[in-house]
Amino acid sequence: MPAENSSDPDYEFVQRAQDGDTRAFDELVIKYSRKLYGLVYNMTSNKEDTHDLLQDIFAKAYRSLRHFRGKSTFYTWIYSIAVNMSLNFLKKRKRRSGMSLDDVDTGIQNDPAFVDQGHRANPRHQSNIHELQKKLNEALQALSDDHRAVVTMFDIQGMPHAEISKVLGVSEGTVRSRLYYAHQQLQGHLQEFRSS
Amino acid sequence: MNTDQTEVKNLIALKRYESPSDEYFDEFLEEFHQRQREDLLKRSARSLLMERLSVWFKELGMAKWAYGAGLAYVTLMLAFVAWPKGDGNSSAAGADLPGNRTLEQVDLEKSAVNPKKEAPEPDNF
Repeated sequence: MPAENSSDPDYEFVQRAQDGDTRAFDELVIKYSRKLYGLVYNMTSNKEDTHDLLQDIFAKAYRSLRHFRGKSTFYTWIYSIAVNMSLNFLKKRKRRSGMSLDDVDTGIQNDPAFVDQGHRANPRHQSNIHELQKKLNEALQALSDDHRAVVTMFDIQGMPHAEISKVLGVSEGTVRSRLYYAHQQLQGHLQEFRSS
Repeated sequence: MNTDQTEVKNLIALKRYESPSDEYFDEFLEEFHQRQREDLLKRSARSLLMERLSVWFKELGMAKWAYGAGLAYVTLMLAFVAWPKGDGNSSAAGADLPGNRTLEQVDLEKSAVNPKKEAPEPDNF
């Protein structure tokens, strides 16, 4: 049965994809791969894991698309798939090996956008972008998976509380409370990089 | 919100600049297509058959109940006709015996015609 939510900006692509138009699904992949990459990367802090997981997320979405009824927007739906798969992956990874923080990626210290923004946000530590990025990843990994998901969606991806609550299937109050505790924890971890 | 929290949020927000290049996402899409093709090839013939059957069954609409009932009736009738009558062992064993006699009946008849000599009781014990 095709999706019914015609107010969804992706409605047309979703309908065409449900009718078997693979190019329409490609458009959805192109549109959301960058955003979902950000979500998964900041949840896992590992590029290889992010790449494989993101492939799995789109494959799952493709297989499940015929069950999508349009009760939420496609954006919320695919975000929910991505968050759930990332949380399940993290549980398995912890059981498997207990990931060390040494495995956390620190490979973008030469990214011009990051370096430039890093200097602006943190003038006292201009020379230590690499250290800052490492600390940021470590601070995020120190959070629980649920708290990290909320911080990623709100602080990094700029999603509103209401959207996050829909994706996670929890109340807005829960989202706010998780954010509050996560910020408290992050303050401790990033003490040395704060200018005051 | 206090300044400490604002500062932490600004630091965390830096992570939004961590993103791969456009080429990465072009290659990502190509790999997605390749994985889809491999996945399709990997799926067994059985799962494909089941999927096609289920799709065909779904597309039948109301007619599926008639087809389903007919198929069930034919299966039952075939099972009824093909099922062996009575006990499988005795019917198989007696199949070649004349007059539908059992092996026990034949043995009894034979012993009546040629009664076996019993071993003589020893005298000296």
